Amino acid sequence: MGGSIKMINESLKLAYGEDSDLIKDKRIAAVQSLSGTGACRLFADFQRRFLPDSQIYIPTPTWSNHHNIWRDAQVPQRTFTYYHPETRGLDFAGLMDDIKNAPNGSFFLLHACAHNPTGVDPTEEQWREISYQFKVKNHFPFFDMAYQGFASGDPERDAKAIRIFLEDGHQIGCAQSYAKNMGLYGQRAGCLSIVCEDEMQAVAVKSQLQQIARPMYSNPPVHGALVVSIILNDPELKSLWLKEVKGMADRIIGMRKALKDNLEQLGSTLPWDHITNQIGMFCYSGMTPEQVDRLTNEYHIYMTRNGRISMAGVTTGNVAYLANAIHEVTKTK
Amino acid sequence: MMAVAVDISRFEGVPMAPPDPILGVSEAFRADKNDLKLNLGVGAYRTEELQPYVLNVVKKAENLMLEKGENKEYLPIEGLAAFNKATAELLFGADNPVIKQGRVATLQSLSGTGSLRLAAAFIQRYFPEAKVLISSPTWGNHKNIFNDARVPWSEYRYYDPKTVGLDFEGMIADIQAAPDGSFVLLHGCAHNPTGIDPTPEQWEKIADVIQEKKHMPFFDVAYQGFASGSLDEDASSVRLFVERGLEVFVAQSYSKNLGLYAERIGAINVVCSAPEVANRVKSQLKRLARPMYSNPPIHGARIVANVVGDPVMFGEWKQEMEEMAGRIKNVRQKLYDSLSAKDKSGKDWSFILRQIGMFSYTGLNKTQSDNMTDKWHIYMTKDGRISLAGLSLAKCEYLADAIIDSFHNIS
Repeated sequence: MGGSIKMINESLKLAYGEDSDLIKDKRIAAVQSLSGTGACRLFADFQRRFLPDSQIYIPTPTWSNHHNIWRDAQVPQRTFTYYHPETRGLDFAGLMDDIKNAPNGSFFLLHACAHNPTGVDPTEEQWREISYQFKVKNHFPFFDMAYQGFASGDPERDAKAIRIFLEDGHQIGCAQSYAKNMGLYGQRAGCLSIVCEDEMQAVAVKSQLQQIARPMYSNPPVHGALVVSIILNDPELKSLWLKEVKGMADRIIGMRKALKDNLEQLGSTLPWDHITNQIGMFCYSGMTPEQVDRLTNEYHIYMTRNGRISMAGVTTGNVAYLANAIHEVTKTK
Repeated sequence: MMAVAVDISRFEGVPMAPPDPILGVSEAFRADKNDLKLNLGVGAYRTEELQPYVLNVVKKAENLMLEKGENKEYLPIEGLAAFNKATAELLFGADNPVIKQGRVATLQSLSGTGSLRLAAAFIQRYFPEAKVLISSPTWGNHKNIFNDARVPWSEYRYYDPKTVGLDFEGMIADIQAAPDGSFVLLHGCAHNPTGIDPTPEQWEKIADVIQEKKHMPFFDVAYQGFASGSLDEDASSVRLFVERGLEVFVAQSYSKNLGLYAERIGAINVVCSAPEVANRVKSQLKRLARPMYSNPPIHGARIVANVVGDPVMFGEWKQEMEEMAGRIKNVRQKLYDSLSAKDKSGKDWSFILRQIGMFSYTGLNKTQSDNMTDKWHIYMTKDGRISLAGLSLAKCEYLADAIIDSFHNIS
């Protein structure tokens, strides 16, 4: 019911660090999960069962399915400030206020890297401040890490937020997904981990996670987990993976730069720094729903009406076309 | 930046969960050093050499899939279209009017468990007053599924220890007594854990009372093809209900019949009165699946779709399935023969031949089952259930000796 042990162990090393004491001391309760969704759902159900008075603070905006997951698990939700539309960046002051104003011991959902849908991540310094405030308030940090390696190209760097929290002694929860960074989307490979007081507690917590999984799907699917396990356990394959994930991340980063450069060359007077400041698969362009509609109707460009562009769909072949279309619908006469 | 430490762990109140009753059997078996040991707890098919079996047709399909080099993009929430089509046709028959009329809502789901859970969640959301009736006994995880989905359940009589057979009168009476509109969970074939299935005539009467009470039939079909060896025959109970024009829930699993246990491949099917109804039901099942796992895993679905979609592979599958079912029937026969020959008391062991599928309810009680393990190193569940899938012809006589000893010398 807990899944592939080898896959779990390698997943923990990725998230917590190769030399993590928590791993050595066996303090992490971890189970294989149905990708990121399944990991979040297991945690939400665990919250409901063992921490029935808890709620979850979810950033505004977030991946829409986060709301569905905690709602179906019957855990009350609150939101916290995150995105700053005026700067297309992080509303750090608003974020810190909400952290301080939340009741002590609140549960927070944090995107470890490459925030979905905005692409806006806190800086390292900002993460340190957030972590400190979490300590003061005794908040519980639950990290959804769906893009490790895929964001910057370097898995260690993408786990920086988590490592900062761990250094500060937080006991975190973490949902990991191999959908993007290993391209295993449809295989549903992921891992849920929860840091515990000691080994005994980790064993107990793991046993309860398995109890939640059993009446949902009995045990997780083997195929994707085997692929992950074989790759991560073989030094050559792991090295190849690191190259490939960097390749994917670099292509996205390259497209961000190209899109911004194109817009500037077209003579757009609007600020487009956010395209390259944001990170990961998505760019929150700041375009209005009406502008997006024009992109679709006039230029056959499809994206969500909140202005979110999936940079994964941008290529050297279409970036000029895209830039031109964006310029046309956003320029002021 | 020294920080505030957490004094009392948030997880202080999290107790160790009890060991799984079935997994515990396998663990104890592994720890046993005796040469004669036998694992009859396992609900997974084993060959005569007592090894796990990956079907040849599955290996063929996987090689084909690797050659094709298809991508690993997300499936839609409802799963692989080719799989959904194949699975509904397998279950109801490709020519069934309900399929032709588009009246079946099918979602690929995480094997039998996942299918049952989706259906349970749907029942909780849209039939919050309804109760599910489950057989006494039934597969242990059924109760967990309905409990976690917060759907109330009660039991209908099923197993009669006096006859080691079906308590048909009790079953009908309990289904009759339940409030109108209850959901009745039925095992389509090869009842788990007893191996006791209603006869076709009994199925008709069960359908009568369900129809009369406006209950919703809810089939768990985990052994289609694996029970009798024939896919069509094993689906006859489901088809009987569908033919009456009833709306029916059916959960399917390919764990046993295609040996795809760990791939987690199955489906939930809801036969509805009209295509428009099926569309609505399907849309709501999707809404329940999305916050559980978003979309189902591709690998097992592709295997099934490839096997069923290719006439040669489909034929090979049917043959391998017949062989698996045949091996089970052979060990049943040998066990029965051994028991009859060795047991001088005149006890009638023929229930072993009448039962069907992977399991047999031996009629041994807990103390007797303990004796099987402690004295004879035979591992089984404490309800007297043995898995014939874990029995070889070579071990039948030894097993017979153990059963006779436990039955007659232990109370």
